[in-house]
Amino acid sequence: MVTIYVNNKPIICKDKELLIKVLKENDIFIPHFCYHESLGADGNCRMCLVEIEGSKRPQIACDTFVYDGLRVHTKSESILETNKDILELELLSHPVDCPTCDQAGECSLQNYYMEYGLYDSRVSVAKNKKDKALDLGSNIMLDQERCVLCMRCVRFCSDITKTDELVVMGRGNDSYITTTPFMRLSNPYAMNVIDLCPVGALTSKDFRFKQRVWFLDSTQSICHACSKNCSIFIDHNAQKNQNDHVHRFRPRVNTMVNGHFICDEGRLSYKKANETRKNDFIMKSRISTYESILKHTKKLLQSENAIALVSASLSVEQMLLVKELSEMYLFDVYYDYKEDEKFGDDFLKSSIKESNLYTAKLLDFKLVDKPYEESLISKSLILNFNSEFISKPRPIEMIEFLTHEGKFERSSSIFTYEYFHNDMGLLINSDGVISSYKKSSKVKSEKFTLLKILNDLLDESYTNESIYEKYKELFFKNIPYSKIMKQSQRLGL
Amino acid sequence: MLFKNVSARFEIENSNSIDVILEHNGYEMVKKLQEFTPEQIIQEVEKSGLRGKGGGGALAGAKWRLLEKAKGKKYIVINADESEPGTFKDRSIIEKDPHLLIEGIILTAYALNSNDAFIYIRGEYQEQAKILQKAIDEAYEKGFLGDETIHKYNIHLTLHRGAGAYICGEKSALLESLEGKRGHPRLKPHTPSPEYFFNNPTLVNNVETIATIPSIIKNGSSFYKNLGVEPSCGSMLFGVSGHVNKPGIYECEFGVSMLDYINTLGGGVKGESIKAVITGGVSTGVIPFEIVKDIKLTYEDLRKAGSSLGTGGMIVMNESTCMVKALKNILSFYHDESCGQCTPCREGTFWVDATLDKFLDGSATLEDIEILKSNSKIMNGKTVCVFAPSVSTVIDSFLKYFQDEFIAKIKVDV
Repeated sequence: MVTIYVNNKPIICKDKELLIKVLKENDIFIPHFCYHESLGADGNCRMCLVEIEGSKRPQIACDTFVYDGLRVHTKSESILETNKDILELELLSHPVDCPTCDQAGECSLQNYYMEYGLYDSRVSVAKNKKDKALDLGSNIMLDQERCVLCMRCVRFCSDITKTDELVVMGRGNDSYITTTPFMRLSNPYAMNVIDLCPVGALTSKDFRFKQRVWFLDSTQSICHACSKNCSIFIDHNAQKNQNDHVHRFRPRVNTMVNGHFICDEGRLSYKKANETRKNDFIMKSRISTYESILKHTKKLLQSENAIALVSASLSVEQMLLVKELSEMYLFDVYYDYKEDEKFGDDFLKSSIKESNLYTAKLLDFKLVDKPYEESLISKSLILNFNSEFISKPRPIEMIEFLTHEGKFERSSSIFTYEYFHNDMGLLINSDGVISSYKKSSKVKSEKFTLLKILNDLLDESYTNESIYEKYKELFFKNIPYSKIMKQSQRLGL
Repeated sequence: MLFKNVSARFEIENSNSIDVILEHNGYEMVKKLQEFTPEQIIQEVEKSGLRGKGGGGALAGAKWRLLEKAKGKKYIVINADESEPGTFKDRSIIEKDPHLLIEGIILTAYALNSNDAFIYIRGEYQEQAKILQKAIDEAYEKGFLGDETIHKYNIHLTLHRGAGAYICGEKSALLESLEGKRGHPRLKPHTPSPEYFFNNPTLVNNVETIATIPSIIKNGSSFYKNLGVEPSCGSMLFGVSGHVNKPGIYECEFGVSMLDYINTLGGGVKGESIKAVITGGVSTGVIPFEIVKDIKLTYEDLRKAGSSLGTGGMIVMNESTCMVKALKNILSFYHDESCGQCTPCREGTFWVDATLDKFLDGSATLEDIEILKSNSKIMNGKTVCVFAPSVSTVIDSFLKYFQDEFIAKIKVDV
């Protein structure tokens, strides 16, 4: 460890660490476009110039490695002027169309202008025109005039996905980003370039012109599209007289799971959150009340010979309560899952689509196979916890706990419960990492959570925390709940 | 005044043919290659005080030593991407004595234990590329290059043509381009280190530098060191163009007077008088006659005058030259050739070029002079390579000596 001085304040950091990384980790404002944690430095934007004592010229923080006693200034008069001058150049041919730009509100150019600019334009030459509204493929639109040529997108396609769909063409200020000749942007992670783009050059065709970002609330959550459990932000809001609406998923940095990225399929799976069941309870094909269906279920559980099928996407706590219920009424719990070899890869996509298969196995639930089909013959009640694999071999009583439309709407009794985007819980991914997803404090729940329904069936009052704590020693290597809430933890396979 | 060392065989008829050159001591040192150890050659180069002729003027021996110490497969790359306006010395070597260059490459490769060399030649040098390729083919045929050579050292030489980008004359951009990528200069290393070609240590030297090696080995380092004025040792293929009667390449020892050179070898100025001289390729900026008359052609003298020796390609301008138009011409070139990697250069070259248009169409204001100055400041020392600082040097020198002409172009409303 070494001590460096930034604006005369000491900072202790690792020797030979990249200066910009140290500054960012210590929340010291350092403007930059081209540097990104996942892509490293390119050194082209020159926004992160800092003054280093003993150095004749300003140096870029993204290519300076710290050493003991290094003295850095980010706020000296000459550096502020340099930053301002470079920003002026970045904006020289920028169309300044913030009112119609989707990046507005989360745009580095805007932020830096507020920090360094606030000057009157002295540009009296014609702006350099380039192409706008270019569809690059994979839901990505390009506006070359807004581009600052930081090359993050190009580097993403060459270094991360290794698909090389994006290139820089032209020279000097006529340089522009475009697709490689005869190629479209088409890789399963393409939409990450939208998040990587620090300005409004790359925008999402799916999101653009729908919402201004400053109206959105962000909730820390986990993508449920496969068993990789990538950390995400759910960006959502409720407009006047309307229910809460999810507008997009964005990757949330989690070095233990997904790094900085998510796949496009996971990103677009936000649509499922807007297609959940209406808030109703159905008993014998008729709309009913929660209390009466609860009573009905308890009665059936006592009298009938039951079997349960759970979706392997239920959260850890939900599964634990199902387990409690199965022990109370002595029934077997089965699970099933889908393996899609075409979907999986060695990066962020797992071929197992169920997001919590690990827990189902951990709790000793049984895999659906022949014995399940055979045992079904002797059963008189099926409990379905949101599984898609449910089948109904013959007229038989069925209680379903669903988030979305079910297969047997007409013949079942149905509890509707909150989908994950509006609930909290824990998930264990295919690599044995346990993570938590949270519920937005700003959204009023209209449905019951599955936890509440199961608690009512059990006549218990477990919380997410208490049910986890009860079993943490048995199944979860004694990792405290509060630790998981802060950060993902590795359970190990 | 004329001193023929590298250019010794330039006057011989068909001097680019191997048969002709072999009758005139061609490949003399290569034939004796095994009489030297690699270390001897490196030491001779170090002792000679030879400086890189591509514009930087760094000591060649020190650069060689860096490569000699590096580990891994080594490459030699010859920078023949001669694109600096006002410069055409490498071109004359390639046209008139390509075998001297090849001989230098063999000596260099042997000294640095490299078996692969490349010549990166400017795309626009079509004719020169043909001549060079023919020379390489001949050298393979005669057993100077290839696997089983007459001098018992395996060396392969490949000619690579650029695609017409000035920036690929910058050594790291050249290597990027040679690797098949876009020609963007690389970030500079933090400690002295050789260049890298596909992650292998590599020496990048100018054509003239390498073409000087055979004469140093033949005549000894002291011969070369005694030429010129220390620390500007040796001779150089100075070039002169513009308003002179005999534009061309004339080799001289370092230390001759610039004015004498122009008047004697360049045939004197065309027109009444010298107004200004661009000293060593446009990137070195301009100096007015008052300074020109006292300048000696050494690295140190020109550095003192606020310019630099650069590639030694002088452009003479007489009294009829409009300095605003001259600057516009140069800035258009830079605007066109900026690679577009760093923001100050990419946008700055555009802005100053567009601002110069305002001076020429009469719409400039006093603020535009400030814009030129502030852009010059932001382009200086804030980019990856020295392209933008060169633009800055040029703008500063024009405004320093000829600001009156710019102000005269500003329309004053009465």
